Amino acid sequence: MKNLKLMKKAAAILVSASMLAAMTGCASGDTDGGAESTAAEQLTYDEWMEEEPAVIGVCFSQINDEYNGYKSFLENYIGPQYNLDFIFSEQVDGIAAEIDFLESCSAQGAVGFIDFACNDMFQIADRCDELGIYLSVQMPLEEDEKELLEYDYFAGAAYTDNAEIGEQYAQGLEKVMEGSELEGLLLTTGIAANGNLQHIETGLNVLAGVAEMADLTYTEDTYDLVTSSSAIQVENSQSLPIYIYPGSVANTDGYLAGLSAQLMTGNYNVVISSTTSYPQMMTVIDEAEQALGKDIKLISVASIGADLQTAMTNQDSFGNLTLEAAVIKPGTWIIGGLVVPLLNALTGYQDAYKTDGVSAEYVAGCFLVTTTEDMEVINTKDVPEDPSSWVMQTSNMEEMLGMYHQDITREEICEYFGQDLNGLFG
Amino acid sequence: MKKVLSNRWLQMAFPLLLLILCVIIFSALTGGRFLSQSNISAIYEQGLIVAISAVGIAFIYTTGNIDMSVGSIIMLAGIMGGRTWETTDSTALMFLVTFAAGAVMLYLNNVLSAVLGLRTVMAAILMMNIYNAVGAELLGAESISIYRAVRDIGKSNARLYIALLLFIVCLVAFHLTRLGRELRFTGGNERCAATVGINNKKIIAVGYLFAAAAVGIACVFTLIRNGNISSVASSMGSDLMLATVLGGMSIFGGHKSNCYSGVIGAFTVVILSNGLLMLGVSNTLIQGVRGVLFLVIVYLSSEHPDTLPSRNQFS
Repeated sequence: MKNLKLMKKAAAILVSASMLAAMTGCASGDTDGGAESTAAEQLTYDEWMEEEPAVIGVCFSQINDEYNGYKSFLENYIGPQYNLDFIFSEQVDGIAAEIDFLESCSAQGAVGFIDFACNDMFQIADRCDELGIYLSVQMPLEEDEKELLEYDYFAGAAYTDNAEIGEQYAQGLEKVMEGSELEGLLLTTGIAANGNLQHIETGLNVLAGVAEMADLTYTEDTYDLVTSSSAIQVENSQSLPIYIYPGSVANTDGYLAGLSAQLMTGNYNVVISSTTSYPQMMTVIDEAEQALGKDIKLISVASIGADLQTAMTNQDSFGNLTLEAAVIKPGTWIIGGLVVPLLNALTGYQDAYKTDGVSAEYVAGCFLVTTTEDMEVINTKDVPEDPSSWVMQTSNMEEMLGMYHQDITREEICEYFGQDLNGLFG
Repeated sequence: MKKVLSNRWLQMAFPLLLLILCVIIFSALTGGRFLSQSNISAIYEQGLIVAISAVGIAFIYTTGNIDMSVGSIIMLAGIMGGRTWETTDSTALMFLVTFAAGAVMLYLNNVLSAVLGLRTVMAAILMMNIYNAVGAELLGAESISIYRAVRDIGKSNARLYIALLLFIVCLVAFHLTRLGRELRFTGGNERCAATVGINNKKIIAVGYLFAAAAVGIACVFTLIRNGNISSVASSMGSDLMLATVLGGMSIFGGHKSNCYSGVIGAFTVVILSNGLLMLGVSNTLIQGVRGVLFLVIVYLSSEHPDTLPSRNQFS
């Protein structure tokens, strides 16, 4: 019995000591960096293809049809063409998961990181700098984030022009409401409260469009309304029901239940979504339409894919499209834009992604779709089974890569990336 | 086979042996990359918060109680700390408020359980909903970035030393003192423990003090690790249960409980995930693979009595 007690005490001390020994080397000291920074020499395409495949981590903020398409584009089209191996995250719903994934990528020897989540840009950029991993983000930078462009390992940002998105929303609202009366508007503002520029621009343009349409004025500043972190009724001169609903399906508990509750009041016949959560919202809206016996129109931002096709070809119980208008981002054009600065950095073309040590924001346009006929054209794009349908073709990528144009500059790439894409969409 | 599985020492050592085996296997299969400094650091960072919480929560589990509200507590304590930092610009005060809020909220579960006569698990579930609602009201869809305030602290060894100190204190208290014996006795059979003069409510309350301190520290560590505060509660409650069971301890407590199982389980989870990722297993498959492995491990390390349990857990 005495021996047993002694053994137990010894075991407890041994466990403590082993934990101490195991963890002593863990926290302190410099971690292994990622691969070396910009290659010492500029590599041609053939030289790059002879290297070991470069590992790129891709952090998704949600897993849906849109992102599955991006995954296929990167894995099956871009990867083999440019000697890249991609590691994809599961849905990342907060900074903790995002950091965990970045560290896991680093441990697997990743030299690049494409971030769709961007929960804390400074933190991710800092960590990438420490790990020696080039970072490319799908998010416009706010004013106080512009300094990130000067980070050594910040390769660039690629996104759709927010102001244009906002304008398209306003145009979409005008088109959708032709011949109808606006009874009330429910505006979901996503993470505008966190400073998301796209969601802020959407909200501001929508409120401006409604003001013009209904000839009303607001009692409060529209910026304050749009960036509210809690749901509010917007007071206005016409007493038109306008409800600001922040948050999103991904980051707000009970989001859809709250949306449903508001719709069931019967005060709103238009829902405008600043996020791409329209597939989930359509079900809630349909339930409200059936319960109230009224048509509720939905306008949302969207990306090319099966979800959008379904939404704009199916009808609700009133014979209207389940998604009346969609502001469409140019799909894989943006994704290619995220890969370009990474490739230029990894192949040693400094001037192609930095000017005077400053990286670039690559900004592309967007489209408004309001009819099934418009959708038929969009449907031919970004079809995973057909590589020729990708909006961003390798022939377009080549125009922006230093491997093909050794003297290309960052400005020239920005200009090419921001070109009018209407020709691509017929 | 039954005799081998029932061997007490094997049951005690199995989780640790499994952890070591995983490290060896992944190291071999990845050509040594698994043991790189960056990966070991990642494992430490990703497992630390669960490990710290598990050390303290073991004091609750041992008595046959369960507390699922830890994720919500961490969230709300973080918000309180974050708002303090926004107001005072003091990192030290932020940590103090976060620690205090986290510890008090966890201890409150015990107080409510005692006052209202509820099982702790019910009190915790009720409070979890309240904490979530308060957090959503305080912060909504916003987030607070404190990264620059905590960046340097995150790079120092302070967390490691605090974690080790907590671990040693809990280890000694749980395994080498009368407190630990009474906790295990209460968890094994409350009525019997009361019969021999153990004040169950008092001993559970003392256990909750240790848990509160550990969770308070975990709240602070979460701030440092994430550098960002939101109103989304983590799944810490279920993570703790998983880590504890994976580490070889029953979440229903009893005389075979220990306070280090959760630590072993926490790091085993992270090692499995990281190792599978390094072997090229898709992230979506990892969840499934992990689930199957956990089932096997839990089956091998749990007891398989021939008769029905004699203790009514819910009387």
